[in-house]
Amino acid sequence: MKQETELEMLGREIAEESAFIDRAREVLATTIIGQSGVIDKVFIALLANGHLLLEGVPGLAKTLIVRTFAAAMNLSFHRIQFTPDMLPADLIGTMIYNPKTMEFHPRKGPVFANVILADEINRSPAKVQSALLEAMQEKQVTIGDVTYPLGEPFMVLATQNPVEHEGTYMLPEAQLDRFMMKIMVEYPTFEEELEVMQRASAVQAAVEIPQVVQPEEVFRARGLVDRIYVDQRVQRYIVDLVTATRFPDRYGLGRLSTMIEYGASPRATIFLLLASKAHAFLQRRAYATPEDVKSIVYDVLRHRVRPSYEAEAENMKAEDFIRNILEHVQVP
Amino acid sequence: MNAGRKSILAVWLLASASAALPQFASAALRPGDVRVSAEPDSLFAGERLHYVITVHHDRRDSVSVESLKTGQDTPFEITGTKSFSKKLQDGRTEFRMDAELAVFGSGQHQLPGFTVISGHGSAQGEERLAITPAASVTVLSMSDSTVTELRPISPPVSAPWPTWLLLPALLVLTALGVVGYFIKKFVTTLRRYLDDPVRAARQKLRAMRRQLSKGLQPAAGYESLSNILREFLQKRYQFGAREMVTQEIADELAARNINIREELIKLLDQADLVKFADRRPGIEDCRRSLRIAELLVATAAAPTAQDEAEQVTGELE
Repeated sequence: MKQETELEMLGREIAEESAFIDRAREVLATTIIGQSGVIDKVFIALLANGHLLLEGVPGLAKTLIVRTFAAAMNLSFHRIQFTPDMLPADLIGTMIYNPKTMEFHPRKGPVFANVILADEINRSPAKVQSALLEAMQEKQVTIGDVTYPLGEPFMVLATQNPVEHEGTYMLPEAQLDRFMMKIMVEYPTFEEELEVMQRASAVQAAVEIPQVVQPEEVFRARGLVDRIYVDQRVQRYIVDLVTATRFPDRYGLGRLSTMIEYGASPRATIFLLLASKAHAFLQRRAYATPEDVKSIVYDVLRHRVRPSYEAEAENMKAEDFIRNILEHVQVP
Repeated sequence: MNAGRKSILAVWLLASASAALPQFASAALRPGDVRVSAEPDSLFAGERLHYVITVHHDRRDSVSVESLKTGQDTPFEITGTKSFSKKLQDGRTEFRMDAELAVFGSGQHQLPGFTVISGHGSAQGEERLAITPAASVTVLSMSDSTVTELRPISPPVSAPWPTWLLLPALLVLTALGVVGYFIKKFVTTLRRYLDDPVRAARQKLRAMRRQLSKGLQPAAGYESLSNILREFLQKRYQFGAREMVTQEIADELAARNINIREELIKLLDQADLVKFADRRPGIEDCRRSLRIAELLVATAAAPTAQDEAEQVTGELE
């Protein structure tokens, strides 16, 4: 009974502390039409302290979502356009010589912000990507001999264009693995696009985004997410799903054995758990269910499961494998 | 020697010389010197006939065979010939021509005639002797009904077993077929009975009730209840309920317009709270939920409109 009371209390706390989500959503709704799924995932990444990789064709409001989100959450925001001639110093900063004092002074790069939009991350060479991904992992940057911690919260939202691969540097799998989720940004529906068009037709000044959330609220919410109860059954379900990507034959999916080059890493298991808890928080629940897992499993696993040549020949994608796995792994 | 004796001797010498003269002149060719043979004596149309012409003649004569009556308007066609001569022990020579003839048509045909040409030296010219063989050959057409008469087929072999067994054997086979049909029908019915989701769910719910009476924890009871209901839904409505979360099951049941969906989802939600939110329900809660589950299964046992439509479709097919 003690556990039940604790969960009920946690549920009440979550209901109170999650109010900022509604406020932020209201602000986002004034600027963004549709894309509610993407916005949910951005909140999940924020609550679970993860980073996002957004993939979608240009013009789907990816930048607008991130910019508005950062503004509404009262978080500092930097947009970095990745280019082939970029250097790591352009990202993390460098030491600048001051002739007056005859000393080197650090100049911090644009990575020093709460929310970073790494636009078209695959346009820069590997060393620049590595610099950013190292910052994502370590949450700190070293300029010269001094190591500087990055701000909290620190969230990177990187974008990729799925249609233009010429002159790009594909992210290595080890670096892709550092993104908690890979979100596919889809076209808006007919009605949503109609509304986008009607709003865009009015020539007016840029809308001022009100800051409706304080960072402290985010930190408190993160604390609550940590306390969300995840039953052993759900934990085993998560491990089952990840294991099925590595050993499909153990789950009656022998056909996938030759289709999957390699499966998801243990980091995927951790992110699946964290994202499930964050999803449960968004649902105002003090406990995670398999429903939470299923809601985010595609986003967490799609960039971690690599199709083999055979699979590519049959035009099978990671999403097809995940769907097959979900259809065969029994829900607790 | 006197003159009388000399004249007698001269007459004798002349007579002897005149008697000896025919021995040096060539003899005339006679039909008896020519022989023919053909093998076989009957054959199918298109087959080959081996036709041999033999001529015995004086060794000083040259003999050839010409004008073998074959080709158009005859049932024979030469496909090959070869001829040679050899000396016989009696001082004469044998001329032999082997001809290979393709035969056509049907019925009995006289062997083809020919002309033997004998040359008796430059002084006396040639002698021609026309031969018409009396022998004949029988040609069988493939479509000729008389084939059976000329080449009779072997008589039918009698069955190795008594023919009167045929009828009882047929009766036994029919009886086995009927028995097999009923066995298959029985097995199908039995399998349908055993696989019946309603029967299986009722049985499991009854077993669960007994376990509750024996002290099964209500939390474990809810987990069993959730599993039984998911399995029942999977078998009754043919969708992967065991791999679906409660919300997905609710969507599926709504799409199929299943009448028991609301109460069913409430039960599954309660079970989810026990499983995932660590709720601890009382034994009475569990028994109540069990009764509701039994009622829902009983309600679902009645065929739905979709079931009836599928049955009608199956019957039409």
